[in-house]
Amino acid sequence: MGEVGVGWVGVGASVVGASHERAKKRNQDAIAWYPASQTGESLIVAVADGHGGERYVRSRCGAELAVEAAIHELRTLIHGGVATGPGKLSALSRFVHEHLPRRLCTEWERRVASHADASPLTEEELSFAGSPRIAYGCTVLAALVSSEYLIYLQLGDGDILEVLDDGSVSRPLTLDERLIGNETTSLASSKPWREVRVVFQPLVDSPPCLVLLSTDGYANSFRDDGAFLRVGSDLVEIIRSEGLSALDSGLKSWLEEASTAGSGDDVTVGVVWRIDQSADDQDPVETNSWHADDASAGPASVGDSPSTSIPESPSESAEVLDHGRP
Amino acid sequence: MARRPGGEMATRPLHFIWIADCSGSMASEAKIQELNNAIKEAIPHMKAVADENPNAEVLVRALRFSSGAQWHVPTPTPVADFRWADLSAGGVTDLGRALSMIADQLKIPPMTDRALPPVLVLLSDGQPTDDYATGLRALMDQPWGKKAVRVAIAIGSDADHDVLQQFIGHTEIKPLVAKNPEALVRHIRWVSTAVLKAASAPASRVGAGGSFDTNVHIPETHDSGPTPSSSNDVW
Repeated sequence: MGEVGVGWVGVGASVVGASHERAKKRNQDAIAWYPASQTGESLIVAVADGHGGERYVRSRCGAELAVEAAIHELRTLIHGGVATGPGKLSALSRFVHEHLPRRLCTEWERRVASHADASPLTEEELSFAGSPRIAYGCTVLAALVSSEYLIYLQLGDGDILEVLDDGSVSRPLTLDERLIGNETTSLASSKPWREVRVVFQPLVDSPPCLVLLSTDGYANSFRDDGAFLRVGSDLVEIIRSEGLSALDSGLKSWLEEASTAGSGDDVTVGVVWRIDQSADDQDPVETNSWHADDASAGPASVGDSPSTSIPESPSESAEVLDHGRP
Repeated sequence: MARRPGGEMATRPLHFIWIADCSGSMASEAKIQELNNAIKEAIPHMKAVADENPNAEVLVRALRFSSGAQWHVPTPTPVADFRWADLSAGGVTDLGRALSMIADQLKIPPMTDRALPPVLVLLSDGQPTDDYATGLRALMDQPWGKKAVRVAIAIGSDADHDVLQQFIGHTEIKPLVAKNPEALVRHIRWVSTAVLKAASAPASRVGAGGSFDTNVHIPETHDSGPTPSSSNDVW
């Protein structure tokens, strides 16, 4: 048997909050993937949460632009746009810590300005928001998983979990203790890059078998942090015993249950699962793979929330067709 | 379908705390009894608001202060089970002690970081007789104290509006003024319904880093701030 390589597959869903449905408000979250197939040796997932308050009149759109911006910035790393060859990992680490936060925020502001140019804020919208940046305010979280390194970034509330092969769950980014009571840092903050937290993790030992990103509506639906962290280990158990198809078919309803029984908020989750592949035959090894039937079908659209489609070629413009939400 | 991942789910706690002045002056002109009646009348309306927002678990308590301070309803009580036992009046006005006791309850723990911003309602008819500033500082030193929705009702003409304004902590929100029983009922109804409703479903707000601002949009009332005397005023 040849050397086992690492690949990844992603499954995600986004549901409108139970309290938002009562108030006839739309889902303010967004989720996006790169590549569009949601599988590969490298995979990017981004989620964002529009603030939804009366000032943030376009925060649903802001969230869409945020996941686009995150994908745009992170995919250059996959395609060698930052560093190649010896010393690559050190160069990438420096880039991630020193440049990525500002580039992400700048790219988001550029997209916001472009959207506002094409569709100017009305007088009423400006009276609430005061400025376009505020109007589109949102959080953003993203993960880039590859065979050599992991990158996590976060601005605002929400959660990123890593689960190892032994089922242990951890947060690669520590919680920001200031963020309680629905208060959050944001892309709309002044000098928002100062609030972006990043982790660059070279893969020395075994990479995590599962990574989860979620907007804050999910964790806020559990009685305490321990109950939420159990999601990570339970998902690993579910996938190993019943296959990725169980996650694919169940995720949307689990999130709906969370919002109804818990926070009432919009809930968005992206799950990335490691596939260990043999170089000899490219078939996933049994211990950490999804079933052959699932592999041929790919990570299909989840329920009513079709996945976001990001063109794979870096030469194409990042045209997001939808954002995986109802 | 596979079982749902994760542990027990729960709605988010919303702590609502009445902070009631029970000093001797509250015994005059039946102010304390009108306060008791107004809170009792408000309970069904609080329950109705809570029913409309099932994702917020409204938990009610009450603290009384006069000479010292004591919990009148010490346990966070689901609003469906909340009952009001009448307060009596007598003693001085130890507001500082009351605020320190509230501050203790807003620490993490017993609060959790997944709670909704608490609502604190201060009702007073006079001037504090202890070091209220230390108590207020203790309250504001707590993250949940800072993020709490703080409203105040000035009962009668002798209430110290400056102190109440400091408690509120937002220049654009003024103390509500009740110079007669009808106004007291109206104000208590408002904080029990409109403010509670706003706190039950707060949107995310850009803040962090020490902001005093609450992310709860408190609906406007045209009934706050000093009012000219009228023939209906009895207090």
